[in-house]
Amino acid sequence: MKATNLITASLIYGSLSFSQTVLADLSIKEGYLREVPPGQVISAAFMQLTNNSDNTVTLIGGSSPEVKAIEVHNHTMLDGVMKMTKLAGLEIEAGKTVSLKPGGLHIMFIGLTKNLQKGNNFSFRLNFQNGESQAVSLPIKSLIK
Amino acid sequence: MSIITKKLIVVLLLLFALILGISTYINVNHSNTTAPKYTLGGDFNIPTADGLFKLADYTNKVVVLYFGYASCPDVCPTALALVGNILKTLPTATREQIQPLFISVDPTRDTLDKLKTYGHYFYPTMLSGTADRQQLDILVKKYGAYYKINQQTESAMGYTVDHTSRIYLIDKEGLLSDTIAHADIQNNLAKKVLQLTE
Repeated sequence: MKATNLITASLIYGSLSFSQTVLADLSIKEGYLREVPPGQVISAAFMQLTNNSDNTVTLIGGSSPEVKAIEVHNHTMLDGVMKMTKLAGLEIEAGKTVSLKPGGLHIMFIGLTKNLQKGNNFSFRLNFQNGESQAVSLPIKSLIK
Repeated sequence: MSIITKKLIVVLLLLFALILGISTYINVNHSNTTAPKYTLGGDFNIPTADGLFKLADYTNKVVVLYFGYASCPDVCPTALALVGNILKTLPTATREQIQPLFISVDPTRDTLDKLKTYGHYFYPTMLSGTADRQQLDILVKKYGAYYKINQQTESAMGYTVDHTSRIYLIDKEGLLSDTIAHADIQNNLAKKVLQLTE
């Protein structure tokens, strides 16, 4: 019983301590999501992820009620051919920053049920291998000038 | 040697020269006719939501061609947005001589109606089309492009499409004039398009 209470308490404490883009251990800079052309249900998010903790963390994806799946993907360009693959996990070492940017690593949003339009924010959770997750709200930006 | 024999030798020599000349002429012509086999680009038609796009009908326009797929989250929208954004900066008289064309190599997911909306998002007069695999494969090969359906059993994507990200500039005569690698679109597109327009 005590153990259950302790777990519940820590879960509550954990969820309370998740602020918008900063968790005790991870900070997010320059994050944004791509606006989606009408009729499309796929988008990508880019950001600088810094691990402020003393341990390596592994980002495995994310979740949101408005997306079928949120995954970590990478692009590689080989002989002019762009290839995209899903990563089982993205390791971020203690104290290190990983850059998710166009043409490389990104968070994929697959099966959006909401149209993403610039000027708005989109909220979702980033999920880590150790069972932790972090609430994130990122602005939506358009490529169109 | 009699005069007749000498004349015969001269005639034979002339005949030999003539045959040599004809065969050289045929060889030269032959290599000319086979040359286009090794040239990239060429005529094509592709279905769009507004009817069949025929390259041959665009003799007064420079066609800016890109192969990709609409559910591509990063590379294709980046390239197409660059095309649209850059074209918007050109003078109206130049813009009127340019026809951007997006060809999807993912006909399973990209219907013609969806593609029309998708293309217009990047540029108001962008045309977008796709065709069956057989037709796409011929076209892609013709332009020296490449794509491959990549099954992604671990991903909710189901499959992704590996593909070349390159701009093809087709001049007003329908000939492939130049290509621009993905990384060079920002710096080279306007300059190269201006060379092909008046």
